Amino acid sequence: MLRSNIKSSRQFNLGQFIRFASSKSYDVVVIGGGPGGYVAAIKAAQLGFNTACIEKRGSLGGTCLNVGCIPSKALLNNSHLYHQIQHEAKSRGIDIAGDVKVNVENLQKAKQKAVTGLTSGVEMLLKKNKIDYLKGAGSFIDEHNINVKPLDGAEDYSVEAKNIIVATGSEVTPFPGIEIDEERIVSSTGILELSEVPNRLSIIGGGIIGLEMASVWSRLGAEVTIIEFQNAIGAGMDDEVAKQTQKLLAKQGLKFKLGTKVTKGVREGDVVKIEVENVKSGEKEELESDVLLVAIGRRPHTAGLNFENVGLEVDQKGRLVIDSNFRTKHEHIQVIGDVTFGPMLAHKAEEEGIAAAEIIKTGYGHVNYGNIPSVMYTHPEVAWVGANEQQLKEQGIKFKVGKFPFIANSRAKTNVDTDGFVKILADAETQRILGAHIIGPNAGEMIAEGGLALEYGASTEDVARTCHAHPTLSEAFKEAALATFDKPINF
Amino acid sequence: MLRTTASHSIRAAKSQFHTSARIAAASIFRMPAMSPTMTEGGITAWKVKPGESFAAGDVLIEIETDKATIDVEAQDDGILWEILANNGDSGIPVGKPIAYLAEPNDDLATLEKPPAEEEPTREAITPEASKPSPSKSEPAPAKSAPVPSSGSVITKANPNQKLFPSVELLLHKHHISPEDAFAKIEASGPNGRLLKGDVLAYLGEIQKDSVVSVANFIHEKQHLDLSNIVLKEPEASKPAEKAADKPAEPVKPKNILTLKVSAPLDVPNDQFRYAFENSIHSAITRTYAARFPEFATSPSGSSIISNADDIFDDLLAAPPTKSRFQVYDISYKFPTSNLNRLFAPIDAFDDLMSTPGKEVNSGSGSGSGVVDVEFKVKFDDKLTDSVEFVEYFQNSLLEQIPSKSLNVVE
Repeated sequence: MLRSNIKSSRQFNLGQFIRFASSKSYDVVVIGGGPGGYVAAIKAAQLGFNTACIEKRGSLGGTCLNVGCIPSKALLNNSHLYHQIQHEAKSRGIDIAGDVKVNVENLQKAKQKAVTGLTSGVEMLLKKNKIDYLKGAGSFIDEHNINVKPLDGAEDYSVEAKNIIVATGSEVTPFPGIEIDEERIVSSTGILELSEVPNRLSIIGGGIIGLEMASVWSRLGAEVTIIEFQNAIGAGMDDEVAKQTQKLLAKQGLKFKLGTKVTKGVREGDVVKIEVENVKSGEKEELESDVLLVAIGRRPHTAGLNFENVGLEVDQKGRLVIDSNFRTKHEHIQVIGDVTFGPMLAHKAEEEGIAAAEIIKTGYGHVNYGNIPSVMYTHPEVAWVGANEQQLKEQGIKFKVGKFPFIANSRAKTNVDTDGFVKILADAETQRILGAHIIGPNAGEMIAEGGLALEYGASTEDVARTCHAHPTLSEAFKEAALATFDKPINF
Repeated sequence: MLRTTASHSIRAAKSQFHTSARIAAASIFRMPAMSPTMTEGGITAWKVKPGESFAAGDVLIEIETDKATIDVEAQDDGILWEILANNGDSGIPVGKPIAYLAEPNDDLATLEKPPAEEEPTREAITPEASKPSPSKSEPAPAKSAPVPSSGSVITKANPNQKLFPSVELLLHKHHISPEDAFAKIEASGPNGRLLKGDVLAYLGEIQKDSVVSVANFIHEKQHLDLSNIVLKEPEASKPAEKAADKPAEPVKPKNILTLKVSAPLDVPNDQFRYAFENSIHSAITRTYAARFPEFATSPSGSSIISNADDIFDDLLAAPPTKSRFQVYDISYKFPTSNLNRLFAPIDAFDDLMSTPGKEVNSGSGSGSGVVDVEFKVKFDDKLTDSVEFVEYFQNSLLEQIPSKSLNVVE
């Protein structure tokens, strides 16, 4: 019989003891604390699973919160404000005594404040949901055990998991032959950290990241050139929308070199020498820039995960192979977000995180890949959801286009912010909404209406018969819907 | 054979069910794909008899794959009408019909059988990941107008819906009551929602095909295209690389001890575990208390928190709040005999207070077993007094447990 002294043991911090004593074992372990991972962890915890989330960055929120969507939006919003004060204040009846200047240091501080606020908010959410936040790098030991290498240099330890959700995200795709030093030749991370406005900024890649950063630094005074291999900007946009967007951005002073490939990019002292070649004519040109941003896309991030150890497969692009329930070869290991198939978007990863947790619980989860919105936060914003014209033509679907320009919208007109239009694509016969494409102020908010309509299978008539507040920009959405089967009222 | 009891519900099976719940004729239940690599499976046992109804969540069938035996649950209520593949059948290719299912209220006498031979689209039954056939480039779907096939996209109208304004107006205009509409008009919207196009087609104002083709288009786009995945070729240099990459046998850290102790087991397993862990708490507390008398009364040590940084920690004695060592990974190896059942339930308190020899297990030849306990102690080797702490802890623990020695496992 044990001679145990219950009294003294009660004085000891029992919780602490239990934590040390029990070998760590969880129902669900999520590798990665980005928008996919942390959302999956919270959902799993809410569904009653004992959950841990492993993150090696040192703060939660992944690329999106730390070096992506959020910091870029801080810079976009504040640079837009600066630009407006500079160029529009007078005509709007606001006189400003003295110079309007931008203070990059404070601009960056404001950005950092937004980031820190949100990442610590996520940490609090994990705590609130009683999720163990394991700060360190996770790698597979075997199918059920994960090694955690703590960030603080402490001893590695392992955790056991009944279910594992891999959400390790993506990283910047390097440009072959161009070395990123994050000072003069930068990635999407470095471009957010510039401490001064470069005189000249060149950007390889006319996608969303490239164009947003072009807007920020151009508003702050940089001369910006965008070099794009394709003949159009804004990968994935409706052709008409892409062309119109390019026109509007060119009007703001951005220079475009489309159908142009970069053959060389080297730093020489404080300048970057870039050699480009016209894809069609083969004509060569040399550019000089103070900063070069490489923004040609992102690729799945699996380094250090040791997924090979447990036999997980990747495709040629490095994406972890899954089935339609995010499951790998091993039923209990799921993969979500940028590290697997589908568009690399934070909100897509979030949806998958929820679905993955629900699949563990109930065997069923819902993500509608035909209804994932995309938004570019330039000014005007560009947003779209569902199919574009090219896709419908390719599929042989007969459709009607309803378009309504913001110049005819009372709110836009009042705000003197009238660039852009709403374009709705509907099936020719049934009027079922197939896609919505918006260029305009707050397009990113308005696109949610398109998503809702798509999700419910609404026809354009249903949108047109729904009361929209006056005066709002959203009336343009209603009028565009009307225009697919009838005449718009205000145009 | 590994047996997975966790209930998996399989998408393939499920989508069949959703279909079954909504078309008038019986539906075919096909061999589901339980994993991306599964190509065929066997039937271990049907859990429902022909003619019996089942409810959502009931286990319908136990399927055996090359990896596991898996229960397949029903997602919707229904009736198992006829079994096409029997218990014990094996090597059934994924997608082959194995039963007919009917809806809960279907009259089995009049129900129509769908042609079982109909080849299902592979997509519907196999997670697309299992089709790494890069060479076979599939024809681009429908350069010309897609051939409408009213598959699962057209369903019975869901009577519990708020009508779209467009639908409401059309019905009103043509004097169709909502009840009639739900009964007569087939729905192409999500969850049996009636769309404007459905009513127009019903009224003959547009072709039914238009409804089907647009619904098919939307339906296809709802899923990730996981067809034609081209797996990354293992690189030629892989074997050599792999050998190099292979993490060397983890170096045993110097500051972790694995300790082992054997003790006679004369109480039920749970009680032993409880008592042993109590002994460990107690030993930890005593260890700290011996060095820091104030710790015994103020275990949290909150009043004496020091922010001295680590350099000072080395020079001075670290504050009591600084953790010297941790005990974790306690594992027990209990004797395999079912000794446990012989014990009458004893109050834990009584048990702990009792004197040795007073046990109840005088019964059938137990010859008390021996339990082996292993646990790890990790100490902070940056602090000068950690080792001392661990030694004190070991001695203190030994005093409390019915064992003579505590061995360090290499």
